[in-house]
Amino acid sequence: MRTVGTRPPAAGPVDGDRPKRPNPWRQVTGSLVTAVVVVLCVVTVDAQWARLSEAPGILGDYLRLMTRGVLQNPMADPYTDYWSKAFEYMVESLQMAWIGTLVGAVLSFPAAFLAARNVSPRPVVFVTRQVLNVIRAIPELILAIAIMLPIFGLGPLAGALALGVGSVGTLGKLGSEVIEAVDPRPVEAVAATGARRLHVLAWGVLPQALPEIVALWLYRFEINIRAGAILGAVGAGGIGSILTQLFEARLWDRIGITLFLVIAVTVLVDQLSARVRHRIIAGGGKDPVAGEAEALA
Amino acid sequence: MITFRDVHVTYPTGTKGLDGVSLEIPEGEFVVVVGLSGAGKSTLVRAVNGLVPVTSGELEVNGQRVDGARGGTLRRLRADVGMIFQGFNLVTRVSVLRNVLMGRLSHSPVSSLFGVYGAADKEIAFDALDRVGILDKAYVRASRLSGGQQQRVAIARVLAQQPHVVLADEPVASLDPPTANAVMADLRRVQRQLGITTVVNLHFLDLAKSFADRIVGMRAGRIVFDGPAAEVDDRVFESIYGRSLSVQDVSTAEVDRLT
Repeated sequence: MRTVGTRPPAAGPVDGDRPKRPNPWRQVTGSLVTAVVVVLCVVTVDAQWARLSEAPGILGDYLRLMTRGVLQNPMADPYTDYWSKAFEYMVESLQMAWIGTLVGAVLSFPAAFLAARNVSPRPVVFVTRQVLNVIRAIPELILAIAIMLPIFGLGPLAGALALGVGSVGTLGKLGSEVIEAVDPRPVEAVAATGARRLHVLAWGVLPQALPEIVALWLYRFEINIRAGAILGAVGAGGIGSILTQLFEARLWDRIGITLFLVIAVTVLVDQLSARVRHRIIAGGGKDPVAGEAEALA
Repeated sequence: MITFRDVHVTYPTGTKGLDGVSLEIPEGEFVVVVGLSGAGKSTLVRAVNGLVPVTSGELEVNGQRVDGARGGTLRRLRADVGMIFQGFNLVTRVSVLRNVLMGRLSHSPVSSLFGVYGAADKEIAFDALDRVGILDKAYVRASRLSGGQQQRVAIARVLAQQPHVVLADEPVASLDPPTANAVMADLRRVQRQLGITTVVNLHFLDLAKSFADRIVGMRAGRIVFDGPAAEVDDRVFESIYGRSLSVQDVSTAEVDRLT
């Protein structure tokens, strides 16, 4: 080990020896510009900032009114009816979200392959990506108002389809990214057996990408439940439609019950779906390596 | 039978992979290609099934031209030429049997797209697993197997193709020495049983000498040695590697001798 010890001792600070700090003008101007933009926005936006101080009080009143509804005996009239009505609409919202996700999954599946650079030729990738970009740029609310409601009329079908088309944009994009991240070596091995292109995709690419893609579908289902609640406000079915009616009539106790159900069901489904997603990605059973690590821990 | 006639391969980056290689490998021979990294061993092997396109020259496998072959012709050629890789290249999220059945994809009807295979195809896959001694692992997820077992699955996948030629690109470079020996022995045994023409790239000269019928030494894209394994001595080694043999060049070297 001759190399150790042959290095001469550090010479100590000699002028011009130590590197100088680079000029920080970029960071400084960046921070200044950001600060100016923030101040400008706060000043020019037409908001009554003074009302912000009244907000906690008002919110408190509404919360008290709403909790009163939730705390009433649900077995007594008319609260039984309130709970069951809210539950009925919540189930409709879930159905909308589920159908919407299915539609999105089916439509986005081929789109994801067409948009993946390691699978499709460049022009196809370009065109597919642009279509997906356009879909992603349109909020579900606009899809529902401008396209689905005029065609399918008021009701949950319009909402479900708006969610479905909206899902294609994100699912197609994220799915194509999963496909592009696939390990190319097994794919090469399948191609080397002389398999046809479609077989290479089905057995080299798909088994690697499918767990992540299914997890994306479930994640989108969680998003669609929340998005669906908003769609009801424009008459596209689900829990949102009853909520708007209640707000118009200012029936605070019923609003409380309905919101409580929305939150409870959403949290429950989120938790369930997240668990299934993790299980899918980690795979069933224990990996030998993971098992070993656990044994050591 | 594999024939190279003055084959050149130049990569898009300008790197020369093969620089005028002429080589004839008769039916049923077990040839090991040795050389430094970048000598063109991988390029030589990968040119045979068209994974690397030939720039000029002629390359024939069993009378079928590889250079210029595309589409269906190339697929039929690949179906007859199995390949084993350094990293095993299994689809680790599916079972061992599914991986082996991938060797049947080019032979079976469209139903195999959905994983539906005939009884005959399944029997071929089971037979292939039996030949490399891991029949009991058929329904285990490939990710659960050790490196040596995974490479045996890859050999079984190749056998399921029922090929006339097998290529192996550094098949044991990711394995520990005893496992490397065992996997090479498996490969050599089934190769003898079935009489498959086989071309293998190897790092270790001792492995090459103990398993090969014939050794081809490469340096800078050219063949610098071609002869029976018994003829390889220190002088030949120097011509291939540009230096004399040292302990690093044999797989069985003990760790304490290296440090």
